[in-house]
Order: sequence, then structure tokens, then C-alpha cells
Amino acid sequence: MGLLHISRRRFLQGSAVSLATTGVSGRIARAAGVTIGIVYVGPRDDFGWNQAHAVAVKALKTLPA
Amino acid sequence: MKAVEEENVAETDACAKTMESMVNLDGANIILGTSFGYFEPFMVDLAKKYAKVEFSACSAAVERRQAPEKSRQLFRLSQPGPLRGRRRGRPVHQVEQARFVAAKPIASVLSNINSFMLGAKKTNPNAVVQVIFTGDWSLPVREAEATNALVDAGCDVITCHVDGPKVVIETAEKRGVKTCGHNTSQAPLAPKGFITGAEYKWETIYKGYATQLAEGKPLPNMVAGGYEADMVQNSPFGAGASEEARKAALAAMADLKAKKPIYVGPLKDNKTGKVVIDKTYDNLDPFLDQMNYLLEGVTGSIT
Repeated sequence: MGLLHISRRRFLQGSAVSLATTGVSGRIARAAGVTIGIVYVGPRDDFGWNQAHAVAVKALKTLPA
Repeated sequence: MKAVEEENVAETDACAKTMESMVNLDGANIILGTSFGYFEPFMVDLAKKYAKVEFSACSAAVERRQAPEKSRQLFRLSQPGPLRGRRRGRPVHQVEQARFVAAKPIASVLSNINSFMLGAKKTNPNAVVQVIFTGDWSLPVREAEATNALVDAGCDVITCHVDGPKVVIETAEKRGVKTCGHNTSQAPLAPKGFITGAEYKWETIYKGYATQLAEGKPLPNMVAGGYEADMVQNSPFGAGASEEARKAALAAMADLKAKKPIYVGPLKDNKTGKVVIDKTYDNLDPFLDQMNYLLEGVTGSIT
């Protein structure tokens, strides 16, 4: 799980140049309003603390951009 | 609204890297760090580096460690005080022997235990609340051991204050003991014995942040609240909640919504018998965030 997580972020970092060049996703998100980044210490389905936050984030995603 | 998430992020450089990439790659305007250990030095450093990005940490401990002069505007310290409030809302109706499996004896946990005891005694003055501390937020083996030991010694209800109540709830259910949960509903794990649980309602807080940011308004430096502010909730009643328990719980919740105080002083600690709460305090009074004792009525020790 840890490896997967690192590789996803590394992958994103690796593709940062192309994102910056095309300026697509990041800029649109900013223009559209607020982007929230949320970091959990455990799994989102832990029946506990992490899940409680994840449920809230799921609700946030339903808000109009 | 756009939200980017990352799970299983350790309280090390890893969290700083994740947060930084959320800012740089995903264009995050606000970072919510949900674990205590993310705060210092990681979020503090990032907040200095990215002055236009909001960094919010949710932890009672953070609040205590951040003296006002040190806490810069960049930090939202979302500590819903109601941890102590919501416990009172739980239907520990007519419980005789309640047991608590808790992580660490820090203020937010102690207030949870103390207010649970006060709530239990409200419906049954003879109720006994005993606590065992496991020592950390997530120690599944110790949590199972503690639960089994408490069941072996005899009890009616078990509750807990640990990151993931899964093990405690499942173990108690297996042993035929009723449970009160924490953080989210554990009803699916205890189809027979789950009564209800104490939850934060992060949705209220996070939606508030989102709205304020979208409107270009400054965020509050500290957020605290309870039922009166819709910042906490009880898990839906499970099969373990009797009709009387539901009634008692709903009445307690109504009291909390009406800001009725939980801690009606004077109250003594359970070790020296000394008065530790000198008078009646408002449920959100910062005095209660300094709690470092178990009240008379709780069996157990913080040392």
C-alpha cells in the first residue's frame, strides 16, 4: 500500500512538467474555486477517525465548484 | 468542488511531500492535515513556504501546543470541543458496569471518559465506569486484549477512544457485550449490540472553510463547537439501543443543543479527592481543554 501511494505521488510529480506546460487541470481547478487537499494517516475505510474525515470530503465533492 | 485525497500517509517527510504536491500539482488552496503528527514541523514549515495556502490541523493537542503568539493566521485549529459534549449524548441508559478502552490520557480523551461517566451516572447514579489505557492511537492487539480482559471481569457496555474502534467493537460483539462507538458508525460490525456512537461532523467544519474561502473571507484561527453548532453527531441507533436508551440519549442531545453544561462544579478527581473543577463551566470553555485528571466516579488511573 505504501509503495502504491508513493508511486502515485511520484508519478504526479513526474508529470508536473507536462501539467505546467499545458496548464490544464491545476489552473481550471483554481479558476473554478476552491480545491481542498486532505491527508489521512490511515485507510479511508478504517471504521474510525480516517473514515470520519473521508465521509466529510465525499460530501464536499458534491458542492458546486 | 474539487478535493484531492491521499491515505496511509505517515507522520514523516512523507506527509510534507504529499501536501506540497497537492499545492503544486493539484492547486490546492487549503490543506487539511488530519493527524496530530503532521503539524510540527511539517505543516508549520509548509505554511511558511506557501503563504497563500491555508493549512489546517485538527487536533486538540495542536491547540494546546500553539500559544497564541506562535499560532500564525495560517493555521485553523479545528478542535471541536464537543468530544466531551457528545459523549453525554450517548444512551448509557441504566448502565451498571461500563468499560472504556482508551488510547492516551490526554485532555480530549480524558474529557471524553469523564463526560461519559457523568452521562452514565445521570441515568443511574450507581453506574461504574472503568478505563484501561492502551498507550497509543492504534494498537489493535492491545485493544483486543483490553476488551477481552474487561469482558472477563464483567460489564454491560464497552466503549472506546482509539483511532479505529473496529477491534474493540468486534471483540465485544463476539463476547455478547453491548457497545458504543467512536468517530463513525460501527453498527455493521456489531449488528446485535451496537447502541450508538460519538462522532465529529467534519462536514460542517469543512463546508464552512470551503464557503469562506470561495467568498474570499479569512478563516477563523480556531474552530470549536458541539451539538449547538452541528459539529458533532451521534451514530444512528443500532439494535443494542433500547427504547429507554434512545429516549435518554435524545434528551441528552437536546440538553447539549441548548448548551446545558456537562461539568457542574465542584467536581473532584478520582485520585486525591481534590476539587479539580471548581465551578460550572460552559461546554466550550478553554479551561476544560486543560483536563489532566479522571473525575471521581471513574475507576482507573492515568499513570
